[in-house]
Amino acid sequence: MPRPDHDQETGIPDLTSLSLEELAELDDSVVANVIRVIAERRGGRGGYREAFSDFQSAT
Amino acid sequence: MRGAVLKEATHRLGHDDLRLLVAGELGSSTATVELLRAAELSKHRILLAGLMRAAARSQQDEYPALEAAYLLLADVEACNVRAVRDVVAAPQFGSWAARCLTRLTEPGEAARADVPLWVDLGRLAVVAVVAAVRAGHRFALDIPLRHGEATFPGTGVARPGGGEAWEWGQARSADWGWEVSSPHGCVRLPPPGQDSGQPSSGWSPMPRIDVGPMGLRLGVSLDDRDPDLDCFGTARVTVTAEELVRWRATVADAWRILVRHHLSSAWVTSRVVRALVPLDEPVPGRSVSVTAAGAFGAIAMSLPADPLAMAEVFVHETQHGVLSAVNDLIALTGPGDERLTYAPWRDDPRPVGALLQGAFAHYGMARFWRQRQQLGRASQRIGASVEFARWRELTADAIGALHESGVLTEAGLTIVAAMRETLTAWQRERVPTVASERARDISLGHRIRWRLRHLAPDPAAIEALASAWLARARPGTEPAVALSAITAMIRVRPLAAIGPQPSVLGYLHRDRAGYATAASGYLRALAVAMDVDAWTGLAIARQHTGPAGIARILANWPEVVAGMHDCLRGQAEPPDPDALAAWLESLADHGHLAATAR
Repeated sequence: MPRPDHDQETGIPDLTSLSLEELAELDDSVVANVIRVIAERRGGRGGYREAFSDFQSAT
Repeated sequence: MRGAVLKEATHRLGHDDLRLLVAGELGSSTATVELLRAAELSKHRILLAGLMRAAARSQQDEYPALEAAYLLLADVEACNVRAVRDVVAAPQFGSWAARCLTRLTEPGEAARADVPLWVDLGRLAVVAVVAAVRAGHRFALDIPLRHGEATFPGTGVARPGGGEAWEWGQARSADWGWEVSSPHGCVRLPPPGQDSGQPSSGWSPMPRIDVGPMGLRLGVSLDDRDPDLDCFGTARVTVTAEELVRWRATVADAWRILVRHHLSSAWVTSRVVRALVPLDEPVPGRSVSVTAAGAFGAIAMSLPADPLAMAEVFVHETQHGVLSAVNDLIALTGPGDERLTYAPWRDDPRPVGALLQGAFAHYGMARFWRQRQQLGRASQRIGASVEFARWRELTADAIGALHESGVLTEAGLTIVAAMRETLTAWQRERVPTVASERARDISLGHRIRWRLRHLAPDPAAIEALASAWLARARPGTEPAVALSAITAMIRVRPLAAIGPQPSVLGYLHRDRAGYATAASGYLRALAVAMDVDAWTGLAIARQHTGPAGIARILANWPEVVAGMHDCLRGQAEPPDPDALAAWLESLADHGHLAATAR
């Protein structure tokens, strides 16, 4: 059985039209969650999975 | 709360998009590739947001300098969005942001690094300077120097000089353009486009290669010096002026090949690739190419032997880049994807998850060579058919293994199913017999050598088989054992320990008589010592000389026959490899062996 694509709901938000000023105001939890998802998709290989579990706990 | 707003604006990649991406037709996949580029830009921006927060929380002394660089970038963006977008989307930026984020949040990583954290974080300043220079924005910013140098991404290296390995310098705009200074000197530079591409004692411009017709141009930097592209796990080289001429000519000719005959691949490459990173050849005459998931848009490679080889590298590595970007948006594999298995294009065991990457890249290669079967001289057409036949078979095999692995997500299965559909159609296409036989032998040779090097038969089972062989005069004493159970364990050996694989072409001969002569030679070699290459050659030769049963055992279970042969080597009468294989085949005929011949 295939594994579900549950993380479609937590993909990368479209930040292309957000200014850097607005980027700095993003909610910490949004930033941490997106980075955690990206890191998990790397499967911990050459990524920052552990790194961002730390960051997330800091938030 | 911005979170709720952003959720409505998530980059979404549907399963139809994935199918179009696999189909690779010009036009249908255009929107998907643009979506992936936008998603990678968003990824770089979220990484930047993450590292700014991590740096602020960790109360690093370096934070004020990092913040000053961020503020300059924001100022530039307010008047020139594109200048900032270009530097943030660059592969150098993605690699830098991921590395800094890791250093800030993982103490072990910080301790292992050989560059001070403030130097690494300070790289945002050189990124901001590049954006400001391109936008014509006024600025003055502290920048980190390494041995008196500062590398500006995609632009060049300034050498104001230094007294220490790591120190601060400054970059500032000026009436004549801009300048980079240190306590030891100053380098004056004109604005972009006004001779800033000219080298001088204090400035080495980053070579750029821009080729192709209007509307389908390839524009890349040949980046042999930016430290943020030290992410490919293999040695980089500095390109001399003479080598630069060869790089330019090879890229230009490769691009002509792609534009003329592989339009869809050319278009995707032109949209994805921004930097080429020259690598050293690990073995003379054997080229290498790499992409890194964290550096979307960069291809690292040694200079290929000819333009056609470079065109192939562009197709292959762009496929990797595209699938990495897909994987940032949708998970393609899940738990268990680290399990090791055989990958037909690698000498070492690979994780199942990585097999999907390889399958997608080699699927692209199969399409490339399929399109080349009617091009060039007769020998070139045959060569293309061999490559097409080889990669369509091996990719289909890998896809079959992936399908059965149980680690694919729905998205992963969608990609695999789309590839399988196309490959099934390709497998019905006829290629010259000589090409299909040669492709089969090359693939077989690789797989046999891999099994001999990386599959460890169970010693107890091998000893039991050897004992049964010695007692074979007594019917009924043969062990009932499945060969698949004997060879379940994979041993991981460093590539340096096993050395480079010789070319499989050395095993190929013109006719049956040639293979028979070669087989005699391999048997003589095996009588003296264990020899992986002799076993491989014997197995291939027997595919042509027969008998079929021996050929089948040698092709599918070489490690079992070799293991038995080694175990019996101390006997007064050394065993004959063919006889051992025939005996194992006879057990299979009696129903004792679960020979799962491919």
